[in-house]
Amino acid sequence: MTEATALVRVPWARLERQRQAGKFGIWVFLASETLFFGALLLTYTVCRVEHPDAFAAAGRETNIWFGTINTAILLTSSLTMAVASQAAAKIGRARQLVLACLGSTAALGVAFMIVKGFEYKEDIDKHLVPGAGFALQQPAAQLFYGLYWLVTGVHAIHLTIGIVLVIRLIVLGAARRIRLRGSPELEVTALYWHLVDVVWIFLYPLIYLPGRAS
Amino acid sequence: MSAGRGRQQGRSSGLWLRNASVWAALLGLLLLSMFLAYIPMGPVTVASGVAIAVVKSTLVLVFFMELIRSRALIRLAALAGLIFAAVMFALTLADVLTRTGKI
Repeated sequence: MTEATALVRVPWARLERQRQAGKFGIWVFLASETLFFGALLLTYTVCRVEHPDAFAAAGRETNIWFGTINTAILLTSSLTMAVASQAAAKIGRARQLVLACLGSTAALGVAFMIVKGFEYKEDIDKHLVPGAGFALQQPAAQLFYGLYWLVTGVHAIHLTIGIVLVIRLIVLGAARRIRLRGSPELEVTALYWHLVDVVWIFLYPLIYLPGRAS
Repeated sequence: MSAGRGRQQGRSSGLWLRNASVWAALLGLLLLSMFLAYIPMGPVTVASGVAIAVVKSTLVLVFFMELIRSRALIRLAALAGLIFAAVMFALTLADVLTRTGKI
């Protein structure tokens, strides 16, 4: 059995066909994700246009250091994921490198979640959860924090799914249950991971940067 | 055998170099957007944050997600999401930004 036939799954006859179908499928899914997060960001935009002062005041209350450190962590995880995916596709006998990069990616994902946990705790301590006893005077600041909890929560769910998918690849790859070299599964997982990063890239200026200059 | 290993190491370091350059640019842009957020420039301050996010995401899409060497079908699928999101934003903001008074 050749390497290519070991990776082929039903119903595909050839690996290249399977690879293209997998990539096309995940890109269609990512396009639907773009619309999903796009709708949330559009809601944020409309609310911010209607209540610019309240959003500036609410944005100032977020912890810019947690946000910036987490952005750097996710960008770095995208680097290790890109190297894992490209090494598996282009370099022969790169199993150790691919596994190390996948391990770093999952670890960075977990680090992001830990920092986010500390940030959520601080937000709760500062009474930044919408409802009775909310810390800020402006009513529309609750709109900002309603969207903050919703969008970062949905993003965290996406990232958790990504971490599970990456750990699955590490476990199966380390046990030699799947072949990582040229694996379409690794390519598709990498594309999903990068999209979760792209979503955060847009969340960063919208959540952490408003109101800093005023 | 050793020539093959040397070639493999060469490919590996080329891979790191290329991707690390993109990563360094992304971190530089992150710090730039944080820095600009503290400079009072009115609407330009808000626009700079979003514009830098667009540049950063383009770098990720083109280099890390390898749209630069993807087939036309894949690029079209990626573009489809952006186009429909752009339609959603354009139609909604065409209303919101041109409201002159409450009904």
